[in-house]
Amino acid sequence: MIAVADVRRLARRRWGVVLVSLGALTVVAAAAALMIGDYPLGPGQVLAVLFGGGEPVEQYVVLQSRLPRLTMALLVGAALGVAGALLQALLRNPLASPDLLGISGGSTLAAVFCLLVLGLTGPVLAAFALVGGLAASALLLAVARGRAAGYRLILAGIGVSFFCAALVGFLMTRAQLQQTQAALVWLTGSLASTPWWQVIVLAAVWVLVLPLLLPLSRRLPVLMLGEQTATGLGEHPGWVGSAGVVVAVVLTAVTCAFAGPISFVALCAPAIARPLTGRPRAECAGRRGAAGAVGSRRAVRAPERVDAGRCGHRGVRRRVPAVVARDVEGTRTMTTSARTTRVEARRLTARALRAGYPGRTVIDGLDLDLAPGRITMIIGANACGKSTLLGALARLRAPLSGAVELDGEDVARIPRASYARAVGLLPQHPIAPEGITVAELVSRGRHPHRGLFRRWSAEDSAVVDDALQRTGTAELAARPVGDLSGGQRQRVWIAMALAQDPSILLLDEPTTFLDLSHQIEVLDLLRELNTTRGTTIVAVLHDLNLAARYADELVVLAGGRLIAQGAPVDGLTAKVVAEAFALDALVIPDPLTATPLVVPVPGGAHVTADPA
Amino acid sequence: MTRAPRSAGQRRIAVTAVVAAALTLAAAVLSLAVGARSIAPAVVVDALFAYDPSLNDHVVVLTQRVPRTLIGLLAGAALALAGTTMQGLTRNPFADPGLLGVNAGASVGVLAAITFAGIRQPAGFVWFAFAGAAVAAVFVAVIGSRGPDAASPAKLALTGAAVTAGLTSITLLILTTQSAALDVYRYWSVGALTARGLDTVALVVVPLAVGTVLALASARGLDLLALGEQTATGLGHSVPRTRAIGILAAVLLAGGATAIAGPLVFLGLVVPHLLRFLVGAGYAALLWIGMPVGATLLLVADVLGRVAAPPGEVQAGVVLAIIGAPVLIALVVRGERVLL
Repeated sequence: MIAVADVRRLARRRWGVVLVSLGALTVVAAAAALMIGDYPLGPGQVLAVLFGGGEPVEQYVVLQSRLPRLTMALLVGAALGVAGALLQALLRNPLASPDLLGISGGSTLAAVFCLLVLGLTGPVLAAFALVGGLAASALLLAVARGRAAGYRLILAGIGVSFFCAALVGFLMTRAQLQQTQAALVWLTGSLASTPWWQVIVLAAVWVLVLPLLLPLSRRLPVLMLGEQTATGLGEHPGWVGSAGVVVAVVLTAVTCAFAGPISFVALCAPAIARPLTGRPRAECAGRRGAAGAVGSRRAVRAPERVDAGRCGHRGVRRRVPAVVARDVEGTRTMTTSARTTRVEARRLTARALRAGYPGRTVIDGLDLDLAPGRITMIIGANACGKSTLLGALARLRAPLSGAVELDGEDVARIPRASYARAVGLLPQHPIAPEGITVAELVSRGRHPHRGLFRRWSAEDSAVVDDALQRTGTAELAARPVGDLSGGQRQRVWIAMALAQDPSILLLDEPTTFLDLSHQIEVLDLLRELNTTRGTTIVAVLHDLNLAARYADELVVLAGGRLIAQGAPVDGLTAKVVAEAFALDALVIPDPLTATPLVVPVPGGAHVTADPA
Repeated sequence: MTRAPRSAGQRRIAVTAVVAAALTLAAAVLSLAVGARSIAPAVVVDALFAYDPSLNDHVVVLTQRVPRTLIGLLAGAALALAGTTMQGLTRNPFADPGLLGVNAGASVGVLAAITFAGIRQPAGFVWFAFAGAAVAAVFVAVIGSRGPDAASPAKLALTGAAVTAGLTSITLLILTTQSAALDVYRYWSVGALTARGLDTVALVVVPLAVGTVLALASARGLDLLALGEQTATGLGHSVPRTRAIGILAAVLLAGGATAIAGPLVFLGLVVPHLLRFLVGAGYAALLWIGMPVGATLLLVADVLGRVAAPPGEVQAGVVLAIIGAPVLIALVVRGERVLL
């Protein structure tokens, strides 16, 4: 048994080691940056200048040339590292980089235009590059409808890059050779002869951006579970995504304006940081920044550090069992005491609900009352509106009209985080980020319970441990989710929903792709949760017989309308089955539970037994 | 004689094919007739069928416009085929031959020709560009095909990106240190159909022909691959063979086209996208009709470049991107059907 507190403690220790090592590397790189160059300086000379002494030449070299260059490198590297980490998290693509947003393309075009056509340099050039980069990315985001998602953005980004690259090429063929060379130098990206004012501007941008990074670093790990899960955990994926994109665009555009288009750092820094921190999340944005800062000075070192990081990773993994063995007893006592309370009973209702997509109404005028503390199963044919209903209840999509109410209050008025503490959702296809471990995934269920500055608490650990144990996944805590079987994975996702600890749990086809025994296992788990904790369960299910067995109440939908609601014995009749599924069936009492058992009448003349 | 009735989809494909062929013919005539020196179509026909070396117009048509038009036809068709093949192989609507490092390799090849062999004329670059493109692409294909998930799309894309980045830095290194090389390279790198003779075209005819045959032959394999590797294998198809043939075809076609016309980045990406709107997702139609469509686009871009900014010319590669980028973005805005 592995307690989540131990997993987190190990991770924290690793973070400490990583941070200290990266900090040390940055210091070494910074020292090298101050000493090495056309005019080599010893450590003593550099220190003397930094503390106000030294020869005038040395003072000039260090204070006017190398120090601004070094500071710029640190700020640029950190900015690109953070921008890359943000975009890779938002696009859920480890190959994403700010180049996708057309910033370097637009920046380069504007800068080359300024250099070759207007013949201007200095602050004007930087301003042109900045405006060009921002304009290109604004155009792209407008095309992609403001979302940093999917293929629209990438395709439009390719178009913009081609456009800019072709025009740059054209301008280069029309200019004097000497000017072309100057433009080429800008194109290669350089930190040479950075003036202090650029450093100050970039530092100011950093100061503006930093307050946004902390809330983003809390939210991105949740967003990486997919938009539906994130909404279920009380996030607004659209807003978080837009904020992340804006931060990434601003950071990249400013660095590009001052240092030219520097590729690679934004792509590589997160890739280096990922194995170091052992988790594929943007939570370590700051650390990635540090890695980026070092990387931008001495890119050659990157492979060496990746290896070092991997070794550390393995070392920590090997230590897990020892810690686990030591802490088993303590963990058990802690969890059993913490988790016997029952959840508060909340009532979820739909009032004249019209839901669907713009231009296509799926559910029209549905009134539904979900009994608190009961298990409700929603059944119906494909495309009858089951998932749409669940989506409206979980606030994945706002209703077209009508309302969903929680204890009589319109849910649109309830803050998302507090709604997520009352109502949880397990989507049909949840997304697990690559490499995430079971313990981390389940821990993310605690998201709506954590404020911006509230640290992970002993209670959080206790709840997660309890969720792991209830679902029988505690043994898997340190395993990557990707390595699990389908049944195990489903239990892990249910554990995440349990860690969220909602009064009402919505599940979209939780048993799909599971074999019969695993289906029973999952449903037994839900039943047990309902009995011991009083959690209201609302699940979409395809298997009518299992739904009838486990439901206190059945909700039958057909064509977006409610055609039956009530106890399975009353709700599931041959007539209802015929209406909902267009299926000729015999409904008999289940020999074990006396709940309705639906036996479809075979097509053709294959009936051999007498149904009477 | 009775014929099987055609479905609406088939009729649409046939109509598109006929229209595309007609457009190509028109574009070719325009390309022969339009330029700094406008030549009447009748004179063009005369020049082709009753050549008279004493007439200046005839000389212009035969020594300049005919090679130029041929290059446009060949490179346009080849890039469309290569792009379609790459998108099918990688099941990625963003793929183009550049993914294999073709353009970056050709650039390094051309720079080697300029700096080490002292060649200054675009006609002399052909073999260097082709060799550079082929070496880079074969390297990407071989590295990307190692290991258990041989030549998986992600692996190819990553390898291609890494090789491209490495080669680009070599390019920049040469360019920033050798200003003479920069002076020649900057004209080649935008992609143009000018300043090559018929003898240049003859050099790449064989790779282009072989590539075309291989690409067209892989249509059914690409259709199956579009259903996923497992389904394709389950339908009794050899996925590794389709990949090998497809990659070879893309290398020959894109390498040949880049060798005669310079790096034209846009066609391979946009032609299959444009055609999916018109003929659907079947690769036979995409590949066959892609050829005239690609050729037409490139010729039209070249003709527009000739008249856009007299007395000079705007290179075809530049015109392609200026027209093509808005078209691509419009396709993106219009809807989801651009997806594979």
